[in-house]
Amino acid sequence: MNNAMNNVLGRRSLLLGIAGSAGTAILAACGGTDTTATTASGAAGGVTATRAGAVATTGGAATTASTPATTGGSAAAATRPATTGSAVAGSTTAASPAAAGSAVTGTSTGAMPAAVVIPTFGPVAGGAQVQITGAGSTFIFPMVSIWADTYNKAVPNIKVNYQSIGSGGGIQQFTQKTVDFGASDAPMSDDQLKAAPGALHIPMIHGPVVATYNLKSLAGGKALQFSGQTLVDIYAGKITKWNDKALAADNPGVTLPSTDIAVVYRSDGSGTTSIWVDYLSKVSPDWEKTVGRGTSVKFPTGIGAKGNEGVAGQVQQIDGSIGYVELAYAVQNKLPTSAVKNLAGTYVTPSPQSASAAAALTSYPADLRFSITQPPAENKDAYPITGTTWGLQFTEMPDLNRAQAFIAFALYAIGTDGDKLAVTNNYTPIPPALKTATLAQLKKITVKGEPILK
Amino acid sequence: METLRVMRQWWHNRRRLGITATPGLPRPPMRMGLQADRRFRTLLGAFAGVIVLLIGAMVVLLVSDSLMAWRQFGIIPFITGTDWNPPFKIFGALPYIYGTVVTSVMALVIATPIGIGCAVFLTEFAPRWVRTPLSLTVEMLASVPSVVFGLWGIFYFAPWLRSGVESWLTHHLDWIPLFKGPAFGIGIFAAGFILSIMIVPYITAITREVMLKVPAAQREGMLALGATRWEVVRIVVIPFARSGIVGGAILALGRALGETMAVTMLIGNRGQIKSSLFAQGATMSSVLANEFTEATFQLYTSSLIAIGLLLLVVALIMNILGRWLVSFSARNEVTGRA
Repeated sequence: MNNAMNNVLGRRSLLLGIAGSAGTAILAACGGTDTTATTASGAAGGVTATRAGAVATTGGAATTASTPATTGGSAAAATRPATTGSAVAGSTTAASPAAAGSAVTGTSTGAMPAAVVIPTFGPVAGGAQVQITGAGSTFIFPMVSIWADTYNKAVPNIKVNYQSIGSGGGIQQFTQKTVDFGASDAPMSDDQLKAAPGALHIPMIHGPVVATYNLKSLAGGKALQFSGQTLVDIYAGKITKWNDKALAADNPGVTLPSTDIAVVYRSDGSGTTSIWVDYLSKVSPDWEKTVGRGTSVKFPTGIGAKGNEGVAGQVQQIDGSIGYVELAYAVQNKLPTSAVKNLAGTYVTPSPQSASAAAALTSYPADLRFSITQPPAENKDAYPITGTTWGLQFTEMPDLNRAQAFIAFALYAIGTDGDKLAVTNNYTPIPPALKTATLAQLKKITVKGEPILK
Repeated sequence: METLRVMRQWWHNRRRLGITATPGLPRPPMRMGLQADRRFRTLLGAFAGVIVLLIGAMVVLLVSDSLMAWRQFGIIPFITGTDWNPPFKIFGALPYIYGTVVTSVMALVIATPIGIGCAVFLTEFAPRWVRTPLSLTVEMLASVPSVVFGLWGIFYFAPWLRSGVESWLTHHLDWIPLFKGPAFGIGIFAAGFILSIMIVPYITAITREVMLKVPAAQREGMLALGATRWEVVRIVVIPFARSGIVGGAILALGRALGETMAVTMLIGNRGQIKSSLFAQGATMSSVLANEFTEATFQLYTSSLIAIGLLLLVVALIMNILGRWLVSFSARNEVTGRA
């Protein structure tokens, strides 16, 4: 192990391809032994290769220690990831890190996806096998598996293992440093951050939570829509019949039956519940006071079912029931999804697009611990019940190979290829406005004080 | 055995007897055997020790990790507390203890007569060609994974309960608090019912084994005296098998107390104490299964571990009670009846 690592360090060559508008690849290549590497990477900070198509060539002042064969090998290894999707035309300014410490300003909602160029990152030159392990959120698990599989096919020497043990467990394992990265559907609390100094929140994906229902007498008709307050009152047990005035007001022109409402909620602690009650708490201060937020709360009424499949199962069986599940699950199982009224007053149908619109805030807090449920009224097309899954990483990572592998994988996930995979699997990629800030987070990661991504 | 002893003696004394070569006689497996015995004993002792160590380690971990909850709430208030509210950091275990006890007792009440009846049929009444396939089927029921029971429960059993049994009961007997609606199919009733199906094979298998041990002479004697088969079962078989039946029931109860998956899928997962059997509830194991993965702060985890400790204690009490019942009924058999 040690031997192999030395070998890798000796032939190390980082490729950093932030593709500019002219197809310019900026390469920071360094080599030599580990000790010289840190100094060399600073000195050889910007070797520019002006070649259209952004094909990487490698070089550097400090490669004298390595043999020509090594240089060739690393160039070959570095070229592959660099060409996989980085050469998207875009302005270089968008990729520049925004000032850390202050609020990060994102681009406007309507910005084209190409506005932010996610660089790819040639991680471990020389083809050393790197395996990184993550743990946490069950929500992002299918997505991470798909990313990891496809990424492993493109870059065979990086393998990502992910254990979906739940966000709480993910935060715990991450804090204890038993995994290389964590993932959570809720940002870490201040207390949790105290236990894990230097923890970074890296937004990876969004997911809308949708209200689904079963009302036999309405089957086949127009989908129902809800305002936030109606949902609060249903889940608080204040609205008990489907023909309640509030529901009628939300659904003009629909004849609602007098069926009893059966409320179904997630019994297992989950990010889905956390997003749902976060929204209800924002709509109603009363809910916030009496029920509150959390992965598992004491619902005033209803039946608890385990998992998305449990909730869906109950809703499909009980006439007059209402429940909440993740959009991806609802779409795959063809459950009815309801539009929800946002702050702009529009009833918005949940979709990756409307969820993405919710995530495009004008400003994000510097540590990226934000909540995008009930976004401000200016996000007109935003679906208001949307959550975020964060990757968790420390600013200072102990192992260079793993740090590079993590950054490479994260860049892949939030890059064009990752986005495409997300959309085909009913996930919501993070919006361009947020990508800038996410990139800035990744740039904060260092090994021995030396940043990996510049 | 005797031959071996003689052979060993002889081998041991061969030098003294001046015998050096023993043509035609094999060396008896003495030394080797003794040494192997010793090693075997050490190995077995180690196995047994590992079990004791494991249980010890478990208890130590459960106690040390739940200390925070006990300190925060106090032992009695935690056990008798009826509010379980993670966002407000309030934890009380009573609804879960209640759910565990009620579902288990209900399962036992339903399963015991069925299990015993099945065993009596198998040993006394069933023709030979029915016996083997039927007892195999019953035993197979014990090996069905509980998640399969849960799935079947959600998709067939609970809807059937809702539209059949429960709607009839809530319609006709809703003056009894136990049968008060509304009935959704999902709830304590469904969980208790599914548990009873799961534990029937345990009761049947053990009862059947014990009933097979009833001396044939007693049975034949009764029949010779002109007793009917029912009388044979009532007067000879059941009293003889009593301790076995109680033992089987206790084993089944142990299984019901700890059963997690099927119960979680059917009980409705609401930590509440309601008089109606149709209300939703939660058990100690179901709340652990539901909330442990996403327990986001230490007091929460600690409270869940405290529930785990309570579950262990409840199971232990039930076990001791069961052993006492078995020995009690066994004693009765000897002195009182026979």
